Amino acid sequence: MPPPESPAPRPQGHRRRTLTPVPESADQPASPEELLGLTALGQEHAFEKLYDAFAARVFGLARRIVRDPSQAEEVAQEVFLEIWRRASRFDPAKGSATSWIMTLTHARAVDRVRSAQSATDRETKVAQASVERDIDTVVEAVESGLERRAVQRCLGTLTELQRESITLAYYSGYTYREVAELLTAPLPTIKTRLRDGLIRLRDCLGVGA
Amino acid sequence: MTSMTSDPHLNTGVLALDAMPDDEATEAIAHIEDCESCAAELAGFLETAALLASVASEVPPAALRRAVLAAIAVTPQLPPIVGLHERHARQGPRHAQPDDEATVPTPTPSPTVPDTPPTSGTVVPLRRPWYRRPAAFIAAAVAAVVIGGGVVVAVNRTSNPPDQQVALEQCVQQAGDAQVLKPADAQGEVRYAPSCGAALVDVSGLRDLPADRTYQLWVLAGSNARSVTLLNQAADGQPQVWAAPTQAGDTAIGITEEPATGSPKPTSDPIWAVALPA
Repeated sequence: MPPPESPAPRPQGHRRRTLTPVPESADQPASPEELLGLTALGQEHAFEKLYDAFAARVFGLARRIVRDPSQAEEVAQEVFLEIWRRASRFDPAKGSATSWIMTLTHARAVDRVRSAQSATDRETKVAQASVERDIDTVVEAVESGLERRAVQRCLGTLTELQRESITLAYYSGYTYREVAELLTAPLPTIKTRLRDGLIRLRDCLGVGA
Repeated sequence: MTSMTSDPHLNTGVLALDAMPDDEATEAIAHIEDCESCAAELAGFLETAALLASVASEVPPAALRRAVLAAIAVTPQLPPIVGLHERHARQGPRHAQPDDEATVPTPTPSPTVPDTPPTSGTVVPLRRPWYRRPAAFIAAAVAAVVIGGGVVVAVNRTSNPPDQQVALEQCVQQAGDAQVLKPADAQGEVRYAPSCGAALVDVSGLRDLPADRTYQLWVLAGSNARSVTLLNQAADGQPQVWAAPTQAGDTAIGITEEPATGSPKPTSDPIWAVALPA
């Protein structure tokens, strides 16, 4: 837990409808890219901030894919350890830190599922978790609220077929061939649906270059 | 099988979603590397896919944080690759396995500052802060527009005297064009009346912050964020309402968590935001 940075006393006397002038002090935002850069320098404090910013997304996505909460925790731990170890390898020229982290998360979660599948059907494991559920109040559950709402809304702009295909591929971790099998559709159709759906999502979300 | 399925240009979506089976991945990636427009499309898709994860957000058990922090404390970091660009993020997820993953790294045994800066020396613009993202992004964040009564929050970029606050509040309350805007999955709401040039913001339901932090209210006009006020919590726990002057062209109202003295610009992602209708 990082120490509070500037334990300035809370301004006194502000209540409803009082406005507080904002000083021109510069407190630069720490973007994920910056935090990753500092993490690469061995700064555990920056890594903690990165953890707090991404833990809900990393764990949540892993959970969606592997389903079993305790396995999702293992995946999340792997992912964060890998972020720590490989932070110096992140190249912002090739994409955002968010993309780097979530791509890694998806890959690790899918790895887990696919290796487990050879032995057992993952559906059977869903209910078996006995996970300590002391929720981490430090992690910012609302941190990505804006994105979440945007994504929910934009998913709503997809056709049912596009949404179904993207959901199965991304949130359930199926290959496109498996998606085609599940939806009884030809492979090129699924490829096209995924691509068209992503184009629509990208434009809806305003993802630029 | 694969050859009959296609136009390799269509593989970008599959790759971005990490849905390409390994036996097809090599060929698909090779094509992408030779196809500039495909690579650009894939890059945009990867950023898009990363946002999809936000929908799945779920706060993990606190034990995970402890375990992770304990683990990194005893885990050495890999040195940067000097002069080599890694292809990890751009190529498909599973196909860019770390070259060195299998071996326990020995260099930089302690997390001190290495001489070499991370990765390449290329200067790349960092991702834009949320408030500088396209208006469409923020607009898309408003999942629901609900018409109805409600508490008010006012936003104001400067220190308006209390009587002006009251005037704005009354104006908005009585305005025929007032709309109530709610975030999709948070409490609070904004009552926005363009005819008054003001919005009232109700932010009840925010959790308490430590003494060195505060909430700060912003009005956004495209890429510009104007501070309205710090939101201090009412001691009595009553709904808190602020009035903020708005003007034509304003695109959103948002709240961030900031140091107790406030910030000139948002320093973190918003914990709460609604888009203003054009």
